[in-house]
Amino acid sequence: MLADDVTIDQILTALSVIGSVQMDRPARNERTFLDTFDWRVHEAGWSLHHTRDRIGRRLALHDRASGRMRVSAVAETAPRFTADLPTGPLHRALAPVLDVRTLLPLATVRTESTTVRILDTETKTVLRVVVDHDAIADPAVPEPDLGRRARLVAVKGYEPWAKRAGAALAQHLGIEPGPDDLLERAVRATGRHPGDYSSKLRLTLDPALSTGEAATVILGTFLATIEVNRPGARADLDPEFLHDLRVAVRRTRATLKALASVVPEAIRQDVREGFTWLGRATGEARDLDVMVLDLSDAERDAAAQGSDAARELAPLHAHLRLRRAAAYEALDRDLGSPRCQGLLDLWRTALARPWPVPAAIEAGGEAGGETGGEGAIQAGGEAGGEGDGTEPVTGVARARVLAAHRRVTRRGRAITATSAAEDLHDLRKRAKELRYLLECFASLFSRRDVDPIVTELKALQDNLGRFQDHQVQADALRRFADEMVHGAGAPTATLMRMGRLAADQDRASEQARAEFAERFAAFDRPQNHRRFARLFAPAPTPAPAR
Amino acid sequence: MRVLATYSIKGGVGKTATAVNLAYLAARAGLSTLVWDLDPQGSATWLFRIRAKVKGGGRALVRGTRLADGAIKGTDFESLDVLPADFSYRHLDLDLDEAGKPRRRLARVLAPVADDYDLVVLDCPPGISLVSESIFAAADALLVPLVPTTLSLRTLDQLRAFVTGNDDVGRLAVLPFFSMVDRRKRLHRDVIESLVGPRHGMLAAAVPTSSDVERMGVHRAPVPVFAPRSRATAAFEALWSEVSMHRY
Repeated sequence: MLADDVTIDQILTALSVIGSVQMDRPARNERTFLDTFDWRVHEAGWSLHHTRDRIGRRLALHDRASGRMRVSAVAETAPRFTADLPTGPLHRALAPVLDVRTLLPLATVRTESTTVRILDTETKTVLRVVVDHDAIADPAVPEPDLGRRARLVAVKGYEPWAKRAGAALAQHLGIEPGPDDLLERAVRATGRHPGDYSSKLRLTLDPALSTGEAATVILGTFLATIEVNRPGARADLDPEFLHDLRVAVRRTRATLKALASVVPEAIRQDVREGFTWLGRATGEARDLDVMVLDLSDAERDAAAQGSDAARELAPLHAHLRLRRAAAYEALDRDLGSPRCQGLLDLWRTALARPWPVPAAIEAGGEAGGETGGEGAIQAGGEAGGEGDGTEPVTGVARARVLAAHRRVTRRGRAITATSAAEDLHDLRKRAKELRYLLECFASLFSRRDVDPIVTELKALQDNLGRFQDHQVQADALRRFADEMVHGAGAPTATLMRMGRLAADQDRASEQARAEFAERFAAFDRPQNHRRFARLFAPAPTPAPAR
Repeated sequence: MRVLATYSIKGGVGKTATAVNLAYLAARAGLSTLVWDLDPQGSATWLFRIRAKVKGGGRALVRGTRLADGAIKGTDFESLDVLPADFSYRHLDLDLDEAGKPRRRLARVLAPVADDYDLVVLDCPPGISLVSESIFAAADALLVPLVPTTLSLRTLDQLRAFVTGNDDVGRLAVLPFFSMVDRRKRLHRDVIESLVGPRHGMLAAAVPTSSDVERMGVHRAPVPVFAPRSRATAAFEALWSEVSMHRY
């Protein structure tokens, strides 16, 4: 960064020590920094911007550490999705990083640049020193001026000149090198900062917290996730906004269930019903998102085998687009409804107050309902039973995880080759609850010990997920075929192709069902039980002092 | 990365002027562009004020003992780099032959920088040789300057016959255009008239004989830099516009 009193003339004088200098006419450009909502480009170590200047409009991907441009391409407009990226190296670099996420404009910066070129004895440019004056283009930003900075832009093959110029600027004007942090400064000016959102749960609990305090931290984190994803889900920016919102709703419901006794009684029922409603209200749009994504994969696979699947499935795509548009309209209505707003306001206010709220604790809520028969949990204290919320969180976490693990184990063991599909679906829900608890409380225990448990659980969840999801998709395809036949009609080839796809889904579901016993046995093996016991068994009660 | 070679069997027809000006216009349009000056005379390199020297010479490049990236120099213009000429390129035929699989060698030299550039312009030495064949294998299109005379047309026919008859380069597009056109000369006018139109595969843009093109050597810069409103600049802009839209 340059101090306000450093002038271009002073810079010219300082640089003339190392070679002849020539100043170009000032130039202007406007750059829009782009990234996904969860900073995938930044996480990959890059920065991406769309630039408009007198040359034209282009997209450039830079390495953040070196500042070096990796690749650029002419692009009339800033892209939103992978499909909008210009084909070639830029597409190859970004497509796997972005996946289904949309690129959002983070900040637009207007820059006035003055370039001083250093020339060698052949009057060849060997270095550019660019003085930029940057400002946020958005007039609503309270402090748009980002100040002035000098950049040394090395010319390939003439890199030593940059070192000489840096030394001259430091010696004569006291300008010291600093990080190229325009992206960070620009986004901070707009109220965000790199990495301020991640789909991954990043929750660190202080073991000294009481259960009530920990509950407000955990549930507050989920509420924040719901609230930041709500506008993107309503606007249908990309499927991940709704996905992350729904995961946060499910985590909220699982935590409400597990820690029911510490939730203020006055709102407990309303909040539980509210989040159950929110989960249902967001379900159809998500199911259709998954259908569209899976259908695209199926099409790609079929096309790779030389089939004309894309043509045959076009009517299904059109039908899905209509259904999805209607589902997202309903979603927008629900997420913008007074009911949703009221729920979130109520919840935000409740979480802002200290817990526990002195109140009678309901005996045997849903969370504790099943625990009685599966191993007694001592009430209160370190053992973490149905206390009043003042007990330390670690003990309660242990008890809740063990109870959830027992539920999964009991229900899993009860499943036989003839069990109804609903039994497996129910087991999936219990496994999700266990997973959420493990993730919520992971910071209280050794990550190294928790991670293998989560990995085992993920494998079981993956099996149960495949069983249910393929079944849901097969049913949906048959339902859509019926709707299409009774609606605008559909070509025979489309219906036959849909029938084949539904049969594929049936087979995949059956395959998952056949693998269940083996998968559950792996989860249920003694080694895993020992892991759970070692990590989550109640801490021994200290012997009374004599 | 697209590879465009300015090529002619004959010398002195405007290959280097075309390579330098088109590369400049491509970079100005936002394409990350590299000029590889394959002519041992090093005129393109000199025009960009760069020393015609590659450590280890052409031999090191084609054998892969020196990577192109380490030899590339930036020019006075953003997004425009040069892989310089070297006097040793006069033996490039021999170097290619000794390195084995000579026809694929130049493409291999460029492969490591493929993601760094949108466009590579090869400024080629005249003649048909092993170097030419390796250029044909590396390039997506040959941009062929043609002085509108009967003899020039004959060399174009020879070139087309060579490309058509060579299985290795069957996908190579040949894009001839009229260069050094002097409309005061009846022969030039007649030849252009007889060959104009898509049937003959000629590009519509034509570069006139111009003192501005000759003055590139004085300014050591592309024409649009020092004569932005000249006829030559307009001609090169038209040529670049046509080439950049061409689906070669």
